[in-house]
Amino acid sequence: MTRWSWAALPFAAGLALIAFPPWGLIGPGPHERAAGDALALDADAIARGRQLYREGRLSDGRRLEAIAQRDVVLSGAEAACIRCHQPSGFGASEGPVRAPPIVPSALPGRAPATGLGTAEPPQAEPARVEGLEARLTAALLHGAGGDGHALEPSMPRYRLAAAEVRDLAAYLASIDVAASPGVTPSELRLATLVSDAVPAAERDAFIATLEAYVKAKNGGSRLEEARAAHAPWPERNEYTAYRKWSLDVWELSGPADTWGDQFRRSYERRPVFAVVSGLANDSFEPVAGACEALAVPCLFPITPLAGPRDPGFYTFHFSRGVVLDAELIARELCELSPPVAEVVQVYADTPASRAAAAALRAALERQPPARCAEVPRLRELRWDASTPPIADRLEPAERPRAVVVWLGATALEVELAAAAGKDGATPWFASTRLAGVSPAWFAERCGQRDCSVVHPFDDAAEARDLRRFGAWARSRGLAVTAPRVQLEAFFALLQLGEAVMHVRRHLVREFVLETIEHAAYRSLVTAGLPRLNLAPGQRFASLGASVIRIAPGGEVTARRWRVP
Amino acid sequence: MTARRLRPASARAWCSGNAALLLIACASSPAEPASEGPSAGAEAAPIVARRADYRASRASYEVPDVELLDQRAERVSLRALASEPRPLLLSFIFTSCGAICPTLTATLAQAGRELLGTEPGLRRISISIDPENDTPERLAAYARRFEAEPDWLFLTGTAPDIVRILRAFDAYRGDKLAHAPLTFVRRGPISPWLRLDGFTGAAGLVAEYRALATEP
Repeated sequence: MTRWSWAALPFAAGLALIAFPPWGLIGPGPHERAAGDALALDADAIARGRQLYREGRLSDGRRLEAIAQRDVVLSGAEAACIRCHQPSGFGASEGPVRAPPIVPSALPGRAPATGLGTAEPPQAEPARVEGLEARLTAALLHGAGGDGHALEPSMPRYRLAAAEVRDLAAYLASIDVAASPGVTPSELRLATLVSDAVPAAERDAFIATLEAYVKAKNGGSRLEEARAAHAPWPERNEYTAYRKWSLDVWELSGPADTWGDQFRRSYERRPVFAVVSGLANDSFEPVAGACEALAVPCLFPITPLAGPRDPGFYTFHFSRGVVLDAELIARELCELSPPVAEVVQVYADTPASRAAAAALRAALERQPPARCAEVPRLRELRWDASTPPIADRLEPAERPRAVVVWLGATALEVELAAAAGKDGATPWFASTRLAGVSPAWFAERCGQRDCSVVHPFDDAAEARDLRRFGAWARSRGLAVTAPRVQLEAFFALLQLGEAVMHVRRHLVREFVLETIEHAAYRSLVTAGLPRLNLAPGQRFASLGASVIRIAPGGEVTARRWRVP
Repeated sequence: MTARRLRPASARAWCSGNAALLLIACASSPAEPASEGPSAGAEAAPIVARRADYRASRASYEVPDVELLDQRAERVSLRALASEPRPLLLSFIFTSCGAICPTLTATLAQAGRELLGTEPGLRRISISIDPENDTPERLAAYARRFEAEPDWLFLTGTAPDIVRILRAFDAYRGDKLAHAPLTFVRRGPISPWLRLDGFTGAAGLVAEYRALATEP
């Protein structure tokens, strides 16, 4: 062989290892998995175990009872395993209390789970359930760990029948997968969503940011496959965590209520592990519903309207969007001095605008008497391209009045210009989020009118984050032309990137989501928010916003972070 | 061109160079989020007892003068509460807490129920460390989960005020998920606080209170 052939040998070896990997992560092929399916434990046992694990309820509906710290009685939801061991079964830390993983393959001395995730419903392989029952009995009833040592008093003691322990074991075995769908031996598949109504410049900056991050990620791991072949220590599985990221851009077109179906179709064609960020100029609610139904993480979409108050488990939001803005504006309206007798609300026929108007209506009615002695009369004006300017539709104000405008930038620009010099004493209220502009944009256009705008970012946090993001962007040769959108995209990518590093080869969606819940606090950027409100059960990073008052002439006179 | 094999000397240099980089990386890892020592306003807490699962110590804390909301959305002054001539049990919680607060709150519930028999004036206070999420409504639902008696106030406020209170009690750990199990006990407004760091269990908390109550 020539010397060039010798040089090619390591590459050939590396390639061979990628094509025919020896490590156990890949597991049985489709034909072997079919054989395993025939032995699956019954779905009823798994369902009973699920109820125990997640709700703390026994099969007859009675609450599960437990004793913690030797004599503290906990029951029902307080006693449920999920509280500490989390939906994924991988556990978590809270202060000094650490709940370890309890899925079978994560227990010490057990073989790693085999088979990558599919869309099939969970099965429980009997081999995994045996032995697990004995471990659970020892831990739950006797407070004994795997090697017989006493478990911490934080771990409660339970009284369970053998059948109930078996059900729990079946459930734990059923959630024990090596990886969720969207993961291949070499690839972590991701997608993002972009609505076609977003301005091209914003869309391009958004996609460029995502691509720059993915490129950096993949660049950092390109040598890992080769290194894995020559790992000097036995734990080669660790290197299998370095998969290439691939990113699909899925377009959303037409009205927002069709977006859920479009998303589903894209997902069915090519399942992904998670949807990272997303640029939607209208309500994300239909998509969030699909994320929940498909159990796909949807991480921090950029949207003016998040969706329902209880968004479920799989979608992380920056905030409740314009609904939050409406609640804050309701507060501001009630605190105006002199108090306003009438509020004129202008909305367009889009889901986000209609939702904002409905939220303001509801919020005004809900204001406590202490804050709103007399709730102002609410008048609503529907806006479209053919309606006359707002200023022309309002008769001169006899009593103090305020106008709330739920419109996008183009419409707002026209309306503000048309209203110049008319009804100058009436303050206008708007949302930068819905309009897609910065507070400075308003300051330049409100003229001699008092304007108050709700803005999702905190002054100091935004400045700090733009500095940090700017530094990263410069290092990647990425131009920052749409800073707010790019910062929010970067934030979503950062959360996913950090979480994926933390979970290593356990690319299980629920575990990744839980990692984000716990680690977001330490994030390098907080997307311009003063604090992140993420935690188990909490899916809105921000519960407040800045309320910015712009005096006649365009000077910002007040900027306060407020929570409804 | 001859293929250059890695000579032993340069291999060694490569290894030691990388080892140095590794050491530098470890040494300069980012600083832990604020897990500060006693903050201004809290005197150093001398350790007076060390039991198996928790640590007990005495301290004086200056309660900040902040206005909070209770579970009925009524305004309360924290300093006024702390000045009442009543025995006090105080904890820091948040309603979506999983591992620590349910046990701590259930402990306060069980121990308080027993103590109320002999201490009818007992006051329990649980302050949320997740104030933006923990509205009065959420706190009221939380109180119902533990069947809290009327003496027990669940308080929330603005984020900056809550941080002030946490710092005053040397309980600020930055992230709410990094919080520690802490219970504070005080016989009356001029007594020092007993700081219980860890889980006492219900009987343990009752015992700590009674021991405190028998002291001059």
